Amino acid sequence: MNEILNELAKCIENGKINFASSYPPQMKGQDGADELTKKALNLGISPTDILYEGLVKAMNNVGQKYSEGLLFVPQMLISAKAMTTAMEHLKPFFSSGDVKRMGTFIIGTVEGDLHDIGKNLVAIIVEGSGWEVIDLGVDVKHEKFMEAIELHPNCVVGLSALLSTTMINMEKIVTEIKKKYPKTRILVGGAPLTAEFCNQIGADHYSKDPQNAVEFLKQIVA
Amino acid sequence: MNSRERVLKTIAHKQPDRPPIFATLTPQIAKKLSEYLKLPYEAPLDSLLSTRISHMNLLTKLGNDCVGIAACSPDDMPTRLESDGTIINEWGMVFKESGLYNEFYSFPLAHADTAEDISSYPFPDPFAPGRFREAEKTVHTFKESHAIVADLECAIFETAWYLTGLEKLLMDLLLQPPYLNPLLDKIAGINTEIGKQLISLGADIIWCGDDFGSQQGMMMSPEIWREHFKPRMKKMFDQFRAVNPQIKIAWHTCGSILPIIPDLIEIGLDILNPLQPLASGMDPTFLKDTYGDKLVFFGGIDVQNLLPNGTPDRVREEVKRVATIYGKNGGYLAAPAHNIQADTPIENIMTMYDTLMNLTEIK
Repeated sequence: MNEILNELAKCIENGKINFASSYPPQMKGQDGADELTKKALNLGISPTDILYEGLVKAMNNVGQKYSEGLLFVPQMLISAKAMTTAMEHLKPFFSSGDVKRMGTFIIGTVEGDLHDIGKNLVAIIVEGSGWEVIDLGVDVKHEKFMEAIELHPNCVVGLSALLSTTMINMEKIVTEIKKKYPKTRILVGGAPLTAEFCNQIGADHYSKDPQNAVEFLKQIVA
Repeated sequence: MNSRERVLKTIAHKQPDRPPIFATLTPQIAKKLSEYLKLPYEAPLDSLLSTRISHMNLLTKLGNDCVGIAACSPDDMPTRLESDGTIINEWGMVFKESGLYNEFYSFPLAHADTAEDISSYPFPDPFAPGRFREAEKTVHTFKESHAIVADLECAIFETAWYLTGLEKLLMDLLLQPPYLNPLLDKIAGINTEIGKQLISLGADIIWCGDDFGSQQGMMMSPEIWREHFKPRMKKMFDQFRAVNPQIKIAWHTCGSILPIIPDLIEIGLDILNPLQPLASGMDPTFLKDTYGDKLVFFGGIDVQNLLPNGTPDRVREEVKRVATIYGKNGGYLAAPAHNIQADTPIENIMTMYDTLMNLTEIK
């Protein structure tokens, strides 16, 4: 079991999506995340093991390297593509309840802001760490966050903004969430954000990068 | 010393009487400043680089020592507003107004894959009639008194991802599907011709650019940048120098880009911009001490926090600090690190200009 899951992890870390993919050059002609996930399931390896021993470990390494400046956005995106390709084969097992995830993470770029690449990177890394991610998209008003929280009790919420003019909309969203769901934890992130701003608006954690968000989430479920 | 002389001395690494200034504005703040100074509001020009070349009368009255010129939309392909609210320019880029900015709405090359997808795409003609009319007017008006800065930002990478979408292009820098090199070459070719024309019109500085940095670090690895962009940029720079060996070449890249500064110097960069001060590692003292003998610095005044949120006293103190560091022994073209944004208090803008125009004691 270990061998195939190690190979799967290598595909995720290196961004080898499938057999046909020419990237990375040193893995040309080899099976990718797509084929290896199918093989692992056919060999009877449990979806839980595939997720946590194959995918989550690998994405954790990817997130860590990004955080340390050893890896950059293009590589993150390709590793994410490899991971989501693998996850397609595991999705039926999530719906059936066969695979238990760490929790539910609701994320969106706040009202007035259409930027999403940072939010997408956080969503990818958090999903890769074993969480169910509900991505509400961009320009998300507080009502939409509230509806999502209602549907997913015990979730954690992530707010993203790129502009100094839109990050101020976070305060209203945080206030409304905390008023109705005071136990809901809220992370905030984005280029203009700071820890001081996070404290000022009553959010729980300022996340400077995707891996930092994962570390915070790990503490919640520990 | 007039503005033009001040700038020419600066870009020759000589100490001027005070740091020259080249600020640019968003249209909203241009309107507020025009009302404040009781000057007629100059409507933005129809160009992808509109903010860098508009409101020149206002800006020179405020204290700018440079004026901007760039390619505008040609007579037969103006930027148009569609009935669904989308705004489409001559490149086929699609925007929609969203609050203060026009944001991307869709990407015409979102599914590009083959070389044929690029060869069949209707790219702009760099020589189309009307393109340089506004540039010629600006040069005619200001060439004796002010330095001419030809703007050629969105030189390669940004134009490419404005057409494909950013996530797709970043991934394709690694996956390298057949469309990639034809697309980058085509864009570099068009912009090189535009740049050569602007230099021929009388530019003193050609201000190229693409954003390779983010708040924390580079957007792509230095290796990927060296593979795809460094050689293309060198080729552009060499062609610009062939038109005018005296041209000074500036490059704009937002964000933190420390690993590639030596490469930029190697391929012939003269001026680095915008020196985004809150981006990781972009410290004035480090940059001046390390590269001050090789680079002129252009930018450096924070627009993310200082200008919109600082008190006038804080603005004065910080502008003086930054300009003194970068301006030691000359070599500093003072500017905010991007267009002055809509939420910037007028008092802070006036304080910035006042501080710089009275900074005569830098040695």
